[in-house]
Amino acid sequence: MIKSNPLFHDSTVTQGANVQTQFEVINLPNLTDDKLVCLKLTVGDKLRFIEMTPKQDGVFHTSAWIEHRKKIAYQFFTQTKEGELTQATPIKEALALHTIVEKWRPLETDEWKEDFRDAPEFSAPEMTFVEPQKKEATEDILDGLIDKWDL
Amino acid sequence: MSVISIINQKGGVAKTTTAVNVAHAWANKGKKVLLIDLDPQASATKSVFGDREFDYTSFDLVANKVGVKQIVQHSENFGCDVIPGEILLSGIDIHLAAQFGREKFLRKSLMPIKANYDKIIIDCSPTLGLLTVNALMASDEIVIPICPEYFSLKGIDLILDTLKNIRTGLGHEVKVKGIIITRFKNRKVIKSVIQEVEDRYGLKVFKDYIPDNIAVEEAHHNHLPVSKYAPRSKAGKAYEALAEELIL
Repeated sequence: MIKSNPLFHDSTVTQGANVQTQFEVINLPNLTDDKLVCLKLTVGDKLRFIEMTPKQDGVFHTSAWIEHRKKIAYQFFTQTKEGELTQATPIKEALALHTIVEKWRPLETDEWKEDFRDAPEFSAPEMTFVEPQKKEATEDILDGLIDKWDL
Repeated sequence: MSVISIINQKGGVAKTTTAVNVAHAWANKGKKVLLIDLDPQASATKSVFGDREFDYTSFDLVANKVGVKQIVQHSENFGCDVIPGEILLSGIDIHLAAQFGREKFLRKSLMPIKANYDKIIIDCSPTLGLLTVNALMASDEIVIPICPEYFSLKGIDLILDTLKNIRTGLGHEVKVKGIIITRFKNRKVIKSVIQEVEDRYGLKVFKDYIPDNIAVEEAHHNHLPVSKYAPRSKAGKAYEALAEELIL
């Protein structure tokens, strides 16, 4: 069971609402230009591979809209631009909150690569990039309500 | 404008002394400063105003009972505005627990007056609860006073863990501005503490240490900043220098 301290539950996010979860991997050593840092994300039965972007020295980040407090599994990995997998962190489970930060501590064996070859969604060198869903603009919601209630 | 919290769950590390004296030093340099006493023991309020009682306090601010402008007091001695604290704050977690947006009440309540100040400084409660969460959600950065003689790495771990939880669960990032060495007696002890803090956490330690000095206690009892009560005291000079370092 994954535990989280109720003191830090966001009371403004209603059950079932999507939040933009920020994923951050820190303490990465200097990468050569031909390396990509990526996130393998499992939400329910859906698997996504997302390329991450540099934020500052040794830090890469990305985000995804996920149902708040939904159980997820994630793994950070690197690959060359030609699609060769190089290193990965262990798979971790968590609840989708606002931010997930992980230190770069790669696995020492290569067994993790098998999981990628079995995943039909992963087709190196091209990856499935997922654009975050766009939130409905507040104005649109207001316009809709004004029309609906004839205000 | 920035909001800075003075935080350490450990008692007796000169949180309040640091808050009131830095607030005065900044005000003395021409900054518009608001000091918020968020500690149920109300030590900062007593230090500034003595036993004076107030119709409204930080309890009413966090509980969103009255507008912030009705709560703000001014201290001539300290040259800054103050939102006083009171013992009722110790029960505020029960009041807030079931409310929507419970963690952001202080941040929301401060909105109407934030632009009036250059610096807002919060003297935090020594316990970790919704009151401290509210302080951190309203803050841009924190400073951690530590007393080297009673220093524990676990205490720093706990604060950093709290900041991580605030970011993860509530989506708000608070920076650690640095560590303030307070009530120091022995330079050898300080050296080893600084080494540990820098090696393990990479945190900045402010170079103006605050010595253990009787003038600090006497200033409290006289409801004056230490640099006004005893301008030549080591603590008075140290707080002036620290305020300069903190403002950068």
